[in-house]
Amino acid sequence: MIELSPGPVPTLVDLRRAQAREALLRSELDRVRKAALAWRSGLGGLLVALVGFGLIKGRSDISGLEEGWAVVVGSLLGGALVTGVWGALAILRAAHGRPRVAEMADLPPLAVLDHREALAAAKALRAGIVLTLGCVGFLVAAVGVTWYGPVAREPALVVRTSVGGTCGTFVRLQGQSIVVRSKSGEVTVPLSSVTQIGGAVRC
Amino acid sequence: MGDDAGPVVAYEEVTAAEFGVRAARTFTVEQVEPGVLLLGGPCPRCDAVISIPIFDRVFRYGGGSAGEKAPRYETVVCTCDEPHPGRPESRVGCGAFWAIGLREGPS
Ligand SMILES: [Zn+2]
Ligand SMILES: [Zn+2]
Repeated sequence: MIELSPGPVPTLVDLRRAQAREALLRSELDRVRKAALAWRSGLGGLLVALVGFGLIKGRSDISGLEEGWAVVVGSLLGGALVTGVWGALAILRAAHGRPRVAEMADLPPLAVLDHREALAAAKALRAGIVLTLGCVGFLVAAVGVTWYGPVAREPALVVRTSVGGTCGTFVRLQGQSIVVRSKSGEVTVPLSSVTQIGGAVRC
Repeated sequence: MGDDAGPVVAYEEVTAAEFGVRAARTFTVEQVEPGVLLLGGPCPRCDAVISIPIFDRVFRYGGGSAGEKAPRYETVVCTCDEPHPGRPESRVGCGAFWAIGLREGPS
């Protein structure tokens, strides 16, 4: 329970402060909406520029990447998609509000509704900015890994004989033998002893 | 040309101890939701019924901290929609202002 009592006679300074606060309140929803629109344009431009930049320069696909790193790029792009969509929705929600149905009976005055909406929109705007910047971060990381990640190595050759196997890269055929470069140097395996030749991603 | 109830009150930024006394007697206060109070009652100068929301936080674009606590004394300005001659474009109300004390009473 709140009790009211007469206050001291306010000064002109008090009046100006109260007027400023009143004007601030009256315009706050409008200002949040405008801020959201400005951020929407700015962040949208940033994303468009980034995507364009990523497409123009460097390796344009991840097929040249080592497999583990290709998975990393895929995850980063997934992260970019999720944060991008979520961020865009949050900013749109801040800029345009959310359709809502309320009970007429306990509908507070418009000023209260507008203020509530302004606070919610400001919150959505902050979330949208963070998420969109997160999306930018994911995209930059994905492009960076695509450009600078380790190149996929040639597939390894596995040559098996009845006594064991050799794994390495193909060097040449020499007479009736196959020469494979393994970790311990070049190995010459007579073809007559080979029982199986296969491939492997790595030794 | 309507059925005006009395003489036209011109816009004037005035206060008087009597405004505060009358408003404290005639105004009601209600907590709409946490952090939001709603003062309501007739303006002691122009008699228009006004409602004044009092919030803990207001959104400010570009800096400024939100989270100002509601002070004990609130300066209230009339915010009626009625025409008051001489009112500047950017203002509302009749110009009357006063202070009202808010205190947590025994509940
Ligand atoms: Zn008034
Ligand atoms: Zn009035």
